[in-house]
Amino acid sequence: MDNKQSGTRNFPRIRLIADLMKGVKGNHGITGLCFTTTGRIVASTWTQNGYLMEKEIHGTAERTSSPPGTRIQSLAVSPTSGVLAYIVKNDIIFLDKQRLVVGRGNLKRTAPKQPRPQTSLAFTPDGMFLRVLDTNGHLSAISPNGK
Amino acid sequence: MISFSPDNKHFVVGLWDAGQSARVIVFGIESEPNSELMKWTINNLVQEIFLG
Repeated sequence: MDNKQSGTRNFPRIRLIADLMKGVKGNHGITGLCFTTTGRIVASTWTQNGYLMEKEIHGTAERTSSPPGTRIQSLAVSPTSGVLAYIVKNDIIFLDKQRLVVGRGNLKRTAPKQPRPQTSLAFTPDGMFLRVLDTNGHLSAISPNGK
Repeated sequence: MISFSPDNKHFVVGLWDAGQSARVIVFGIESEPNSELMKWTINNLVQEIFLG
């Protein structure tokens, strides 16, 4: 891909750094994408077995894992603790910086019951709560320790 | 979807492209960062690159 710069004065100059999923086959669309507190990139994909990718911006130091469950729907990283949260089915799973499971939460969905990839996650700036916007338009808050 | 690095010097774009491999593309911002207007224009630039 060539670098593309617009001639419009208001557009900033950007350059292509890396295409991180190039050559990785069998992964469907990106469902979650976030920078970590250390500047790494984590992404999740809509695959049956779950796929979580974590890489440096230049594509080095790859660390991938296949969390238990199916189809990761969304993810977020706490700006303070670095805890990573992602959704599998009706569960929210919290991983620490070593990517070990440190907590779980539950999505209390009403309808539709079928998991959808549009559910969104975002930590509050102070890292105290994980905000969840589900496909019904319900906004809720969950503590990173799963309570 | 799009996410900006903590220092606003990079951003990453993830594509939902049914039937094809997922794409995660990293860009560097060479202009002066820390501007909400810049974020707005980058979002529009990304739209232009991938959807235009």
